[in-house]
Amino acid sequence: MRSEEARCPLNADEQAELLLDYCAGRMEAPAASLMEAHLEVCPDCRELHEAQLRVNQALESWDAEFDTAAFDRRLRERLAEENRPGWLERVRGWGVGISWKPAIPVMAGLAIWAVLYTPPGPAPRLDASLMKTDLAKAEHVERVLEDVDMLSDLKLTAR
Amino acid sequence: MRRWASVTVLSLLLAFTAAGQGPGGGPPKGGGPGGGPGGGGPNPVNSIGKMGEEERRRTIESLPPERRKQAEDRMGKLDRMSPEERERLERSYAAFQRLPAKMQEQARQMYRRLNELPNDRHSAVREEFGHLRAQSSSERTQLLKSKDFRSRYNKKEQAILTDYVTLLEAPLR
Repeated sequence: MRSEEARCPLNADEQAELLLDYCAGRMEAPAASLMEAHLEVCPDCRELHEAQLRVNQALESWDAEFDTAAFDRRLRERLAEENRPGWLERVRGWGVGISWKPAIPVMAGLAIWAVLYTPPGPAPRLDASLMKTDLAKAEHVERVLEDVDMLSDLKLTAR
Repeated sequence: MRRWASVTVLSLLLAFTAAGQGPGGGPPKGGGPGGGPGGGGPNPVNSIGKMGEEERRRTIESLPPERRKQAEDRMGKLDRMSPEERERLERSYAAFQRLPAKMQEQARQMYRRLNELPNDRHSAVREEFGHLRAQSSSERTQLLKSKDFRSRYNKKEQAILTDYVTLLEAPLR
């Protein structure tokens, strides 16, 4: 046993894992007691042990903060988001269960109506229309008076 | 399947019916009161002569001020005519309206060109109008062909006098 104590795990490749097992708490009681005794006398192993402890503590604290349930929930949401069908697929899916037969004659009728029936343009404003009529009437009277004036002035009147 | 075919045919018939009742399918136009051009309505000269002052004002109020003033002056001239003069004018106007549209427009343009002449030339051409009115058809033709005519009037004046002869020969008087 003395010889085991004297043999530093860092100097013996096959024993190096013993130190890591000890640090991880995976070593059985008798071997662990021997490793503790060795650590008291071996500064290199002690330093490695302390460093390993710090790493383990850091990992444990990170583990503690990691919320697996929340991670799983977010993952499921993300997957659901990626698998959600686009608007085109949703429209296609909506129309799958509908029979379009009744709409065919109606649509044909509407198409023919659209071709044959030209909708009237925007209804002109009534007052604008009246103004236009008034102006047309005024211009007609003006034209008659012009013609009459010309016929009279050029002596082109009937005898 | 036959049922759908029937529904399709019915829909098509409805569509044709609806299209037929649209703007293009209505009754033919021009059948309303007032008739079309040359419909034998009242003589416009007579109608204007019979208009009251207020009606005349309302009729020409949409014209620009300068043209309105000119129309008012012409109405005044019409009012100052004797009934016989006005009747002759009504008959001449009716005859003028029966001339081809192109000839009517030619007369109007001739009258505008006449009024654009300088005063001295305007007077000279008007004086020649008087001579032409007193001449027979053959005398007018000879005058238009004469060297004297071509030497006394420039091209523009010759065109005015030629158009005037055309109007004198037209069935206006």
